[in-house]
Amino acid sequence: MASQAASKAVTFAYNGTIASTLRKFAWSNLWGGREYGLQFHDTYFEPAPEVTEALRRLNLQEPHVFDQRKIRLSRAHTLALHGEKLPKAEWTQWDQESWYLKPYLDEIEAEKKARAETSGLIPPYQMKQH
Amino acid sequence: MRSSFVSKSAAAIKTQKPTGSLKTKLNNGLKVVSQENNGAISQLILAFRAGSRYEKVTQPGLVHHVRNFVGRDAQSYPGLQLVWSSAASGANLNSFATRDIFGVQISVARDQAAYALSILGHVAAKPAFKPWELEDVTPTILADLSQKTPYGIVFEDIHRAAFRNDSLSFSLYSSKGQVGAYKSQELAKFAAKHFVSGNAVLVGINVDGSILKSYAEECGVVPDGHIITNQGSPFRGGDYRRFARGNDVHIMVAGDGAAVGDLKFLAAQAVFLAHIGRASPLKFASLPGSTSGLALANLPEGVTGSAFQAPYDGSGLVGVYLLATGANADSAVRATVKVLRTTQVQDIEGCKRRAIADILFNAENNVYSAYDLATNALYNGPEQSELIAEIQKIQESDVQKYTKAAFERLAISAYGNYGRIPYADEL
Repeated sequence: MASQAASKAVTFAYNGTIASTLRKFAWSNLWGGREYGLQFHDTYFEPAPEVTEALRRLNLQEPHVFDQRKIRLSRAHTLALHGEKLPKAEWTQWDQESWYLKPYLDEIEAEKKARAETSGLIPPYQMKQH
Repeated sequence: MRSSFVSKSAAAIKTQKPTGSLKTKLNNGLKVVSQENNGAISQLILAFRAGSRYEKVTQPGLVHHVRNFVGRDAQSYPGLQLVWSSAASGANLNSFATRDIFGVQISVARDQAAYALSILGHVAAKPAFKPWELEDVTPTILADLSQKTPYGIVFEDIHRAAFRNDSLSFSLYSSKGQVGAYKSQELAKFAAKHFVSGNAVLVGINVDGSILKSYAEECGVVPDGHIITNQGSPFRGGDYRRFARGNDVHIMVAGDGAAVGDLKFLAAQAVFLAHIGRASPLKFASLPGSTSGLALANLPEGVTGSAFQAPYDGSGLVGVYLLATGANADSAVRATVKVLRTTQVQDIEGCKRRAIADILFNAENNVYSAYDLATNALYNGPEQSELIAEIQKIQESDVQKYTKAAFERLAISAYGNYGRIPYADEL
Protein backbone atom coordinates (compact mmCIF):
# COMPACT_ATOMS: atom_id res chain seq x y z
CA MET A 1 0.00 0.00 0.00
CA ALA A 2 1.28 3.46 -0.82
CA SER A 3 0.58 4.75 2.66
CA GLN A 4 2.61 2.03 4.29
CA ALA A 5 6.11 2.70 5.55
CA ALA A 6 8.67 2.92 2.80
CA SER A 7 11.03 0.57 4.58
CA LYS A 8 9.29 -2.77 4.72
CA ALA A 9 11.36 -3.84 7.71
CA VAL A 10 9.74 -1.21 9.91
CA THR A 11 6.28 -1.97 11.28
CA PHE A 12 4.32 0.34 13.49
CA ALA A 13 1.95 -0.54 16.29
CA TYR A 14 -1.00 0.64 14.22
CA ASN A 15 -0.79 -0.33 10.59
CA GLY A 16 -4.40 -0.25 9.43
CA THR A 17 -5.80 1.93 6.64
CA ILE A 18 -6.87 4.80 8.90
CA ALA A 19 -3.62 4.85 10.85
CA SER A 20 -1.37 4.77 7.81
CA THR A 21 -3.44 7.43 6.01
CA LEU A 22 -3.24 9.66 9.04
CA ARG A 23 0.48 8.98 9.28
CA LYS A 24 1.06 9.98 5.66
CA PHE A 25 -1.09 13.09 6.03
CA ALA A 26 0.70 14.20 9.17
CA TRP A 27 4.11 13.55 7.66
CA SER A 28 3.28 15.50 4.51
CA ASN A 29 1.45 18.49 5.98
CA LEU A 30 1.93 18.84 9.72
CA TRP A 31 5.66 18.35 9.91
CA GLY A 32 8.16 20.96 8.76
CA GLY A 33 11.18 18.83 7.95
CA ARG A 34 10.30 18.00 4.37
CA GLU A 35 11.21 21.43 3.02
CA TYR A 36 14.73 21.10 4.45
CA GLY A 37 15.29 17.65 2.95
CA LEU A 38 15.13 15.87 6.30
CA GLN A 39 13.69 12.55 7.38
CA PHE A 40 11.44 12.33 10.40
CA HIS A 41 13.94 10.57 12.61
CA ASP A 42 16.50 13.29 11.86
CA THR A 43 14.40 15.62 13.98
CA TYR A 44 14.00 13.35 17.00
CA PHE A 45 14.97 14.93 20.31
CA GLU A 46 18.61 13.86 20.56
CA PRO A 47 19.27 14.54 24.24
CA ALA A 48 16.67 11.98 25.29
CA PRO A 49 18.62 8.98 26.67
CA GLU A 50 16.81 6.49 24.48
CA VAL A 51 17.51 8.50 21.33
CA THR A 52 21.14 9.09 22.29
CA GLU A 53 21.62 5.36 22.78
CA ALA A 54 19.77 4.55 19.54
CA LEU A 55 22.03 6.93 17.63
CA ARG A 56 25.13 5.41 19.22
CA ARG A 57 24.00 1.95 18.15
CA LEU A 58 23.11 3.19 14.67
CA ASN A 59 26.62 4.55 14.31
CA LEU A 60 28.14 1.24 15.40
CA GLN A 61 25.94 -1.01 13.29
CA GLU A 62 25.10 1.09 10.20
CA PRO A 63 27.69 3.85 9.97
CA HIS A 64 26.68 4.83 6.43
CA VAL A 65 23.12 5.58 7.52
CA PHE A 66 24.51 7.67 10.37
CA ASP A 67 26.73 9.56 7.94
CA GLN A 68 23.85 10.28 5.58
CA ARG A 69 21.84 11.60 8.51
CA LYS A 70 24.69 13.89 9.42
CA ILE A 71 24.90 15.19 5.85
CA ARG A 72 21.15 15.86 5.73
CA LEU A 73 21.24 17.70 9.05
CA SER A 74 24.25 19.76 7.99
CA ARG A 75 22.55 20.81 4.76
CA ALA A 76 19.31 21.62 6.59
CA HIS A 77 21.10 23.71 9.20
CA THR A 78 22.94 25.66 6.51
CA LEU A 79 19.67 26.36 4.74
CA ALA A 80 17.97 27.48 7.95
CA LEU A 81 20.95 29.69 8.77
CA HIS A 82 20.51 31.51 5.47
CA GLY A 83 16.74 31.60 5.86
CA GLU A 84 16.30 29.39 2.79
CA LYS A 85 14.27 26.33 2.01
CA LEU A 86 14.63 23.73 -0.72
CA PRO A 87 12.57 24.09 -3.91
CA LYS A 88 9.40 21.95 -3.84
CA ALA A 89 10.86 19.42 -6.26
CA GLU A 90 13.68 18.59 -3.84
CA TRP A 91 11.54 18.15 -0.73
CA THR A 92 11.72 14.71 0.91
CA GLN A 93 9.29 12.32 -0.78
CA TRP A 94 7.25 9.67 1.02
CA ASP A 95 9.13 6.82 -0.59
CA GLN A 96 12.45 8.31 0.46
CA GLU A 97 11.36 8.28 4.09
CA SER A 98 12.90 5.47 6.12
CA TRP A 99 12.21 5.20 9.82
CA TYR A 100 15.78 4.20 10.47
CA LEU A 101 15.82 4.66 14.22
CA LYS A 102 12.72 2.62 14.87
CA PRO A 103 14.38 -0.83 15.20
CA TYR A 104 16.90 0.55 17.66
CA LEU A 105 14.30 2.41 19.68
CA ASP A 106 12.11 -0.68 19.81
CA GLU A 107 15.03 -2.73 21.07
CA ILE A 108 15.82 -0.16 23.76
CA GLU A 109 12.21 -0.13 24.91
CA ALA A 110 12.21 -3.93 25.03
CA GLU A 111 15.40 -3.86 27.07
CA LYS A 112 13.85 -1.40 29.51
CA LYS A 113 10.86 -3.66 29.89
CA ALA A 114 13.04 -6.76 30.33
CA ARG A 115 15.12 -4.93 32.88
CA ALA A 116 12.09 -3.86 34.86
CA GLU A 117 10.81 -7.44 34.86
CA THR A 118 14.11 -9.01 35.84
CA SER A 119 16.95 -7.40 37.69
CA GLY A 120 15.99 -3.73 37.68
CA LEU A 121 19.65 -2.89 37.15
CA ILE A 122 20.48 0.34 35.32
CA PRO A 123 21.92 -0.41 31.88
CA PRO A 124 25.55 0.44 31.21
CA TYR A 125 24.74 3.30 28.84
CA GLN A 126 22.85 5.12 31.57
CA MET A 127 25.33 4.22 34.28
CA LYS A 128 28.40 5.61 32.54
CA GLN A 129 29.41 9.18 33.32
CA HIS A 130 30.01 10.79 29.96
CA MET B 1 9.94 -16.96 27.39
CA ARG B 2 8.31 -20.32 27.88
CA SER B 3 7.81 -21.86 24.49
CA SER B 4 4.91 -24.16 23.79
CA PHE B 5 7.43 -26.95 23.47
CA VAL B 6 8.28 -26.59 27.14
CA SER B 7 4.73 -27.12 28.31
CA LYS B 8 4.47 -30.24 26.17
CA SER B 9 7.68 -31.67 27.53
CA ALA B 10 6.78 -30.80 31.10
CA ALA B 11 3.74 -33.02 30.71
CA ALA B 12 5.90 -35.65 29.10
CA ILE B 13 8.19 -35.81 32.13
CA LYS B 14 5.30 -36.82 34.34
CA THR B 15 4.02 -39.57 32.10
CA GLN B 16 7.25 -41.28 31.01
CA LYS B 17 9.69 -43.33 33.02
CA PRO B 18 13.29 -42.21 32.51
CA THR B 19 15.01 -44.12 29.71
CA GLY B 20 18.64 -45.15 29.82
CA SER B 21 21.49 -43.71 27.82
CA LEU B 22 21.05 -42.54 24.28
CA LYS B 23 23.52 -41.89 21.53
CA THR B 24 22.17 -40.83 18.14
CA LYS B 25 22.87 -38.60 15.23
CA LEU B 26 19.94 -36.75 13.70
CA ASN B 27 19.25 -36.16 10.04
CA ASN B 28 20.70 -32.69 10.14
CA GLY B 29 23.96 -34.01 11.59
CA LEU B 30 23.37 -32.93 15.17
CA LYS B 31 24.62 -35.55 17.63
CA VAL B 32 22.63 -36.23 20.76
CA VAL B 33 24.20 -38.00 23.74
CA SER B 34 22.42 -38.71 26.96
CA GLN B 35 23.44 -40.57 30.10
CA GLU B 36 21.26 -41.48 33.03
CA ASN B 37 23.06 -41.41 36.37
CA ASN B 38 19.87 -41.13 38.42
CA GLY B 39 21.03 -37.91 40.00
CA ALA B 40 19.01 -34.86 40.92
CA ILE B 41 21.01 -32.30 38.94
CA SER B 42 21.01 -32.34 35.15
CA GLN B 43 24.06 -31.32 33.18
CA LEU B 44 23.33 -29.98 29.71
CA ILE B 45 25.94 -29.06 27.15
CA LEU B 46 25.62 -27.72 23.64
CA ALA B 47 29.09 -27.86 22.13
CA PHE B 48 30.57 -27.27 18.69
CA ARG B 49 33.79 -28.07 16.91
CA ALA B 50 34.87 -24.48 17.36
CA GLY B 51 37.86 -24.53 19.65
CA SER B 52 40.88 -22.31 19.32
CA ARG B 53 42.42 -24.58 16.69
CA TYR B 54 39.73 -23.40 14.27
CA GLU B 55 40.87 -19.79 14.43
CA LYS B 56 42.64 -18.49 11.39
CA VAL B 57 46.30 -17.59 11.78
CA THR B 58 45.30 -13.92 11.61
CA GLN B 59 42.72 -14.34 14.37
CA PRO B 60 44.53 -15.14 17.63
CA GLY B 61 42.23 -14.84 20.59
CA LEU B 62 38.98 -14.96 18.59
CA VAL B 63 37.54 -17.86 20.57
CA HIS B 64 38.25 -15.99 23.82
CA HIS B 65 36.07 -13.16 22.54
CA VAL B 66 33.33 -15.56 21.45
CA ARG B 67 33.45 -17.30 24.81
CA ASN B 68 33.08 -14.05 26.74
CA PHE B 69 30.16 -12.98 24.56
CA VAL B 70 28.01 -15.81 25.91
CA GLY B 71 25.24 -14.37 28.05
CA ARG B 72 24.85 -11.23 25.93
CA ASP B 73 22.05 -10.68 23.45
CA ALA B 74 21.06 -13.62 21.30
CA GLN B 75 19.39 -13.16 17.94
CA SER B 76 15.89 -13.69 19.32
CA TYR B 77 16.09 -12.73 22.98
CA PRO B 78 17.86 -10.10 25.06
CA GLY B 79 20.84 -11.46 26.96
CA LEU B 80 19.62 -10.21 30.31
CA GLN B 81 16.38 -12.07 29.88
CA LEU B 82 18.14 -15.33 29.01
CA VAL B 83 20.57 -15.20 31.91
CA TRP B 84 17.93 -14.04 34.38
CA SER B 85 15.51 -16.79 33.32
CA SER B 86 18.20 -19.42 33.74
CA ALA B 87 19.04 -18.08 37.18
CA ALA B 88 15.38 -17.91 38.12
CA SER B 89 15.08 -21.63 37.41
CA GLY B 90 18.12 -22.32 39.59
CA ALA B 91 20.55 -23.04 36.79
CA ASN B 92 24.27 -22.31 36.51
CA LEU B 93 25.33 -21.25 33.04
CA ASN B 94 28.98 -21.44 31.90
CA SER B 95 30.70 -21.06 28.60
CA PHE B 96 33.85 -23.08 28.02
CA ALA B 97 36.36 -23.74 25.30
CA THR B 98 39.20 -26.14 24.72
CA ARG B 99 41.41 -26.28 21.71
CA ASP B 100 38.96 -28.70 20.10
CA ILE B 101 35.52 -27.64 21.24
CA PHE B 102 33.55 -24.62 22.35
CA GLY B 103 30.27 -24.82 24.18
CA VAL B 104 27.85 -23.72 26.86
CA GLN B 105 27.11 -25.84 29.89
CA ILE B 106 24.09 -25.59 32.17
CA SER B 107 23.66 -27.33 35.53
CA VAL B 108 20.08 -27.32 36.66
CA ALA B 109 17.72 -29.26 38.88
CA ARG B 110 16.16 -32.11 37.01
CA ASP B 111 12.59 -30.81 36.88
CA GLN B 112 13.70 -27.57 35.21
CA ALA B 113 15.82 -29.33 32.61
CA ALA B 114 13.39 -28.81 29.75
CA TYR B 115 13.17 -25.08 30.43
CA ALA B 116 16.94 -24.78 30.71
CA LEU B 117 17.29 -26.62 27.40
CA SER B 118 15.24 -23.99 25.65
CA ILE B 119 17.54 -21.31 27.04
CA LEU B 120 20.66 -23.31 26.15
CA GLY B 121 19.87 -23.41 22.46
CA HIS B 122 19.58 -19.65 22.13
CA VAL B 123 22.55 -18.81 24.33
CA ALA B 124 24.95 -21.21 22.63
CA ALA B 125 23.90 -21.40 19.01
CA LYS B 126 22.54 -17.96 18.17
CA PRO B 127 24.67 -15.19 19.62
CA ALA B 128 24.01 -11.80 18.05
CA PHE B 129 27.38 -10.12 18.76
CA LYS B 130 25.78 -6.69 18.86
CA PRO B 131 28.41 -4.00 18.19
CA TRP B 132 27.47 -1.92 21.23
CA GLU B 133 28.10 -4.82 23.57
CA LEU B 134 31.73 -5.14 22.59
CA GLU B 135 32.78 -2.39 24.98
CA ASP B 136 31.04 -4.22 27.81
CA VAL B 137 32.74 -7.51 26.96
CA THR B 138 36.28 -6.15 26.58
CA PRO B 139 36.85 -5.60 30.33
CA THR B 140 35.81 -9.19 31.03
CA ILE B 141 38.53 -10.43 28.70
CA LEU B 142 41.09 -8.27 30.48
CA ALA B 143 39.86 -9.69 33.77
CA ASP B 144 40.40 -13.23 32.46
CA LEU B 145 43.94 -12.35 31.45
CA SER B 146 44.72 -11.05 34.90
CA GLN B 147 43.52 -14.31 36.46
CA LYS B 148 45.99 -16.56 34.68
CA THR B 149 47.94 -18.91 36.95
CA PRO B 150 51.57 -19.96 36.33
CA TYR B 151 50.32 -23.45 35.53
CA GLY B 152 47.95 -22.00 32.95
CA ILE B 153 50.72 -19.91 31.40
CA VAL B 154 53.10 -22.84 31.16
CA PHE B 155 50.31 -25.03 29.78
CA GLU B 156 49.65 -22.60 26.93
CA ASP B 157 53.37 -22.30 26.29
CA ILE B 158 53.90 -26.06 26.03
CA HIS B 159 51.48 -26.04 23.11
CA ARG B 160 53.40 -23.23 21.46
CA ALA B 161 56.56 -25.26 21.94
CA ALA B 162 55.14 -28.59 20.81
CA PHE B 163 52.96 -27.60 17.87
CA ARG B 164 54.95 -24.57 16.65
CA ASN B 165 53.10 -22.86 13.80
CA ASP B 166 50.18 -25.28 13.56
CA SER B 167 46.66 -24.77 14.77
CA LEU B 168 46.98 -26.58 18.10
CA SER B 169 49.54 -23.98 19.16
CA PHE B 170 46.89 -21.23 19.14
CA SER B 171 46.20 -20.12 22.67
CA LEU B 172 42.84 -20.23 24.39
CA TYR B 173 43.53 -16.77 25.70
CA SER B 174 43.67 -13.59 23.72
CA SER B 175 46.84 -11.57 24.07
CA LYS B 176 46.51 -8.17 25.70
CA GLY B 177 47.08 -6.34 22.43
CA GLN B 178 44.32 -8.27 20.71
CA VAL B 179 41.61 -7.53 23.24
CA GLY B 180 38.78 -5.74 21.49
CA ALA B 181 40.31 -6.34 18.07
CA TYR B 182 37.45 -8.47 16.82
CA LYS B 183 34.36 -6.61 15.72
CA SER B 184 30.84 -7.81 15.34
CA GLN B 185 31.18 -8.94 11.77
CA GLU B 186 34.18 -11.19 12.29
CA LEU B 187 32.66 -12.86 15.33
CA ALA B 188 29.36 -13.37 13.52
CA LYS B 189 31.18 -14.94 10.58
CA PHE B 190 32.93 -17.43 12.86
CA ALA B 191 29.63 -18.29 14.53
CA ALA B 192 27.79 -18.68 11.24
CA LYS B 193 30.46 -21.11 10.05
CA HIS B 194 30.86 -23.21 13.18
CA PHE B 195 27.61 -23.09 15.15
CA VAL B 196 25.74 -25.42 12.83
CA SER B 197 24.06 -28.76 13.29
CA GLY B 198 26.66 -30.92 11.55
CA ASN B 199 29.29 -29.45 13.84
CA ALA B 200 27.38 -29.78 17.10
CA VAL B 201 26.57 -32.14 19.92
CA LEU B 202 23.86 -31.91 22.54
CA VAL B 203 24.82 -33.71 25.74
CA GLY B 204 22.57 -34.38 28.70
CA ILE B 205 23.37 -36.16 31.94
CA ASN B 206 20.46 -36.97 34.22
CA VAL B 207 18.05 -35.82 31.53
CA ASP B 208 15.53 -38.03 29.84
CA GLY B 209 16.99 -38.92 26.46
CA SER B 210 13.69 -38.51 24.68
CA ILE B 211 13.40 -34.90 25.87
CA LEU B 212 16.85 -34.16 24.51
CA LYS B 213 16.07 -35.83 21.22
CA SER B 214 12.73 -34.13 20.72
CA TYR B 215 14.24 -30.75 21.60
CA ALA B 216 17.04 -31.30 19.12
CA GLU B 217 14.64 -32.37 16.39
CA GLU B 218 11.81 -29.91 16.87
CA CYS B 219 13.16 -26.64 18.12
CA GLY B 220 15.33 -25.77 15.12
CA VAL B 221 17.54 -23.39 17.07
CA VAL B 222 20.80 -24.75 15.70
CA PRO B 223 21.00 -23.81 12.01
CA ASP B 224 21.68 -26.52 9.47
CA GLY B 225 25.20 -26.91 8.24
CA HIS B 226 27.89 -29.45 7.65
CA ILE B 227 30.81 -30.49 9.77
CA ILE B 228 33.99 -28.42 9.80
CA THR B 229 37.18 -30.46 9.52
CA ASN B 230 40.52 -29.33 10.80
CA GLN B 231 43.94 -29.62 9.26
CA GLY B 232 46.18 -31.88 11.26
CA SER B 233 48.52 -30.43 13.81
CA PRO B 234 51.27 -32.95 14.45
CA PHE B 235 53.61 -32.88 17.39
CA ARG B 236 56.90 -31.24 16.42
CA GLY B 237 58.68 -30.46 19.65
CA GLY B 238 60.65 -27.43 20.73
CA ASP B 239 61.10 -24.91 23.48
CA TYR B 240 59.31 -21.89 24.81
CA ARG B 241 60.54 -20.04 27.85
CA ARG B 242 59.45 -16.91 29.68
CA PHE B 243 61.51 -15.14 32.26
CA ALA B 244 59.97 -13.84 35.45
CA ARG B 245 61.69 -12.65 38.61
CA GLY B 246 61.67 -14.83 41.67
CA ASN B 247 63.14 -18.11 42.79
CA ASP B 248 60.73 -20.53 41.24
CA VAL B 249 60.34 -21.86 37.78
CA HIS B 250 57.32 -23.74 36.46
CA ILE B 251 58.35 -26.26 33.83
CA MET B 252 56.45 -28.59 31.58
CA VAL B 253 58.16 -31.41 29.72
CA ALA B 254 55.95 -33.09 27.13
CA GLY B 255 56.10 -35.72 24.47
CA ASP B 256 53.88 -36.87 21.65
CA GLY B 257 50.78 -38.15 23.40
CA ALA B 258 47.79 -40.17 22.28
CA ALA B 259 45.03 -38.54 20.23
CA VAL B 260 41.39 -38.56 21.28
CA GLY B 261 40.46 -41.33 18.85
CA ASP B 262 43.46 -43.53 19.49
CA LEU B 263 42.13 -46.18 21.89
CA LYS B 264 45.18 -48.38 22.26
CA PHE B 265 47.58 -45.53 22.87
CA LEU B 266 45.16 -43.80 25.23
CA ALA B 267 45.05 -46.96 27.32
CA ALA B 268 48.84 -47.36 27.34
CA GLN B 269 49.12 -43.66 28.19
CA ALA B 270 46.75 -44.02 31.13
CA VAL B 271 48.79 -46.88 32.56
CA PHE B 272 52.02 -44.99 32.01
CA LEU B 273 50.68 -41.89 33.74
CA ALA B 274 49.55 -43.95 36.70
CA HIS B 275 53.09 -45.27 36.91
CA ILE B 276 54.65 -41.80 36.72
CA GLY B 277 52.18 -40.51 39.25
CA ARG B 278 52.64 -37.41 41.29
CA ALA B 279 55.47 -36.40 43.60
CA SER B 280 54.08 -35.14 46.83
CA PRO B 281 54.86 -31.60 47.91
CA LEU B 282 54.71 -32.84 51.48
CA LYS B 283 57.66 -34.47 53.15
CA PHE B 284 56.10 -37.66 54.47
CA ALA B 285 53.11 -38.12 52.22
CA SER B 286 52.68 -41.19 50.12
CA LEU B 287 50.67 -40.71 46.96
CA PRO B 288 49.92 -43.45 44.47
CA GLY B 289 52.97 -43.88 42.33
CA SER B 290 55.25 -42.30 44.89
CA THR B 291 57.34 -45.45 45.16
CA SER B 292 57.85 -45.61 41.40
CA GLY B 293 57.85 -43.31 38.46
CA LEU B 294 58.83 -39.77 39.30
CA ALA B 295 60.15 -40.68 42.69
CA LEU B 296 62.60 -43.03 40.99
CA ALA B 297 64.00 -40.02 39.25
CA ASN B 298 65.47 -38.85 42.53
CA LEU B 299 64.17 -35.41 41.91
CA PRO B 300 66.24 -32.81 43.71
CA GLU B 301 65.14 -31.58 47.09
CA GLY B 302 62.14 -29.28 46.91
CA VAL B 303 61.12 -30.17 43.37
CA THR B 304 57.58 -31.45 42.91
CA GLY B 305 56.10 -32.92 39.80
CA SER B 306 52.90 -34.33 38.40
CA ALA B 307 52.14 -36.19 35.25
CA PHE B 308 49.60 -34.68 32.84
CA GLN B 309 48.01 -35.53 29.53
CA ALA B 310 46.19 -33.51 26.91
CA PRO B 311 44.63 -35.53 24.09
CA TYR B 312 43.32 -33.64 21.05
CA ASP B 313 41.98 -34.63 17.68
CA GLY B 314 44.83 -36.18 15.72
CA SER B 315 47.61 -35.53 18.23
CA GLY B 316 48.16 -34.96 21.91
CA LEU B 317 50.54 -34.14 24.69
CA VAL B 318 51.73 -36.20 27.63
CA GLY B 319 54.36 -35.35 30.18
CA VAL B 320 55.27 -33.93 33.51
CA TYR B 321 54.69 -30.59 35.21
CA LEU B 322 57.55 -29.60 37.51
CA LEU B 323 57.91 -26.86 40.05
CA ALA B 324 61.59 -26.23 40.69
CA THR B 325 63.99 -23.46 41.59
CA GLY B 326 66.43 -21.82 39.23
CA ALA B 327 69.35 -23.66 40.77
CA ASN B 328 68.07 -27.20 40.39
CA ALA B 329 65.91 -26.77 37.29
CA ASP B 330 68.58 -28.26 35.04
CA SER B 331 69.04 -31.45 37.03
CA ALA B 332 65.29 -31.78 37.60
CA VAL B 333 64.54 -31.66 33.88
CA ARG B 334 67.33 -34.08 32.99
CA ALA B 335 66.24 -36.54 35.65
CA THR B 336 62.61 -36.32 34.55
CA VAL B 337 63.43 -36.90 30.91
CA LYS B 338 65.53 -39.93 31.86
CA VAL B 339 62.57 -41.40 33.73
CA LEU B 340 60.14 -40.64 30.91
CA ARG B 341 62.33 -42.39 28.37
CA THR B 342 63.77 -45.33 30.23
CA THR B 343 61.48 -46.18 33.09
CA GLN B 344 60.41 -49.77 33.66
CA VAL B 345 56.90 -50.22 34.96
CA GLN B 346 57.33 -52.29 38.11
CA ASP B 347 53.79 -52.99 39.19
CA ILE B 348 51.79 -53.15 35.96
CA GLU B 349 48.67 -54.54 37.60
CA GLY B 350 48.72 -51.84 40.24
CA CYS B 351 49.18 -49.19 37.59
CA LYS B 352 46.27 -50.56 35.62
CA ARG B 353 44.03 -50.55 38.65
CA ARG B 354 45.07 -46.99 39.51
CA ALA B 355 44.42 -45.85 35.93
CA ILE B 356 40.95 -47.39 35.97
CA ALA B 357 40.24 -45.92 39.39
CA ASP B 358 41.25 -42.47 38.12
CA ILE B 359 38.80 -42.75 35.25
CA LEU B 360 36.00 -43.94 37.49
CA PHE B 361 36.65 -41.26 40.09
CA ASN B 362 36.49 -38.58 37.40
CA ALA B 363 33.27 -40.10 36.18
CA GLU B 364 31.75 -39.37 39.56
CA ASN B 365 31.87 -35.70 38.63
CA ASN B 366 29.00 -35.16 36.22
CA VAL B 367 30.36 -31.90 34.89
CA TYR B 368 33.64 -33.52 33.79
CA SER B 369 31.74 -36.47 32.37
CA ALA B 370 29.63 -34.12 30.32
CA TYR B 371 32.71 -32.41 28.88
CA ASP B 372 34.20 -35.83 28.05
CA LEU B 373 30.99 -37.01 26.42
CA ALA B 374 30.91 -33.86 24.29
CA THR B 375 34.52 -34.22 23.13
CA ASN B 376 34.20 -37.93 22.44
CA ALA B 377 31.00 -37.46 20.48
CA LEU B 378 32.47 -34.73 18.29
CA TYR B 379 35.82 -36.45 17.68
CA ASN B 380 34.90 -40.15 17.83
CA GLY B 381 36.65 -40.78 21.10
CA PRO B 382 36.23 -44.07 22.94
CA GLU B 383 33.57 -44.63 25.53
CA GLN B 384 34.57 -45.04 29.14
CA SER B 385 33.79 -48.76 29.17
CA GLU B 386 35.86 -49.32 26.02
CA LEU B 387 38.80 -47.47 27.52
CA ILE B 388 38.62 -49.45 30.75
CA ALA B 389 38.44 -52.74 28.83
CA GLU B 390 41.44 -51.72 26.75
CA ILE B 391 43.43 -50.75 29.85
CA GLN B 392 42.82 -54.18 31.30
CA LYS B 393 44.43 -55.71 28.22
CA ILE B 394 47.60 -53.62 28.43
CA GLN B 395 50.87 -55.51 28.76
CA GLU B 396 54.27 -54.21 29.78
CA SER B 397 55.45 -54.41 26.16
CA ASP B 398 52.67 -52.04 25.14
CA VAL B 399 53.85 -49.48 27.64
CA GLN B 400 57.45 -49.89 26.45
CA LYS B 401 56.39 -49.37 22.85
CA TYR B 402 54.35 -46.38 23.89
CA THR B 403 57.17 -44.67 25.80
CA LYS B 404 59.56 -45.22 22.92
CA ALA B 405 57.19 -43.53 20.48
CA ALA B 406 56.03 -40.75 22.77
CA PHE B 407 59.27 -39.33 24.12
CA GLU B 408 61.49 -39.52 21.10
CA ARG B 409 61.10 -35.76 20.61
CA LEU B 410 60.32 -33.43 23.45
CA ALA B 411 58.74 -30.08 24.05
CA ILE B 412 59.81 -28.01 27.04
CA SER B 413 58.21 -24.85 28.33
CA ALA B 414 59.39 -22.85 31.32
CA TYR B 415 58.07 -19.83 33.17
CA GLY B 416 60.06 -18.14 35.86
CA ASN B 417 63.72 -18.12 36.78
CA TYR B 418 64.58 -20.81 34.30
CA GLY B 419 68.29 -20.99 34.93
CA ARG B 420 70.07 -23.40 32.65
CA ILE B 421 67.23 -25.71 31.62
CA PRO B 422 68.47 -27.78 28.68
CA TYR B 423 66.89 -27.27 25.27
CA ALA B 424 64.81 -30.05 23.79
CA ASP B 425 67.35 -30.99 21.13
CA GLU B 426 70.11 -31.40 23.71
CA LEU B 427 68.20 -34.20 25.43
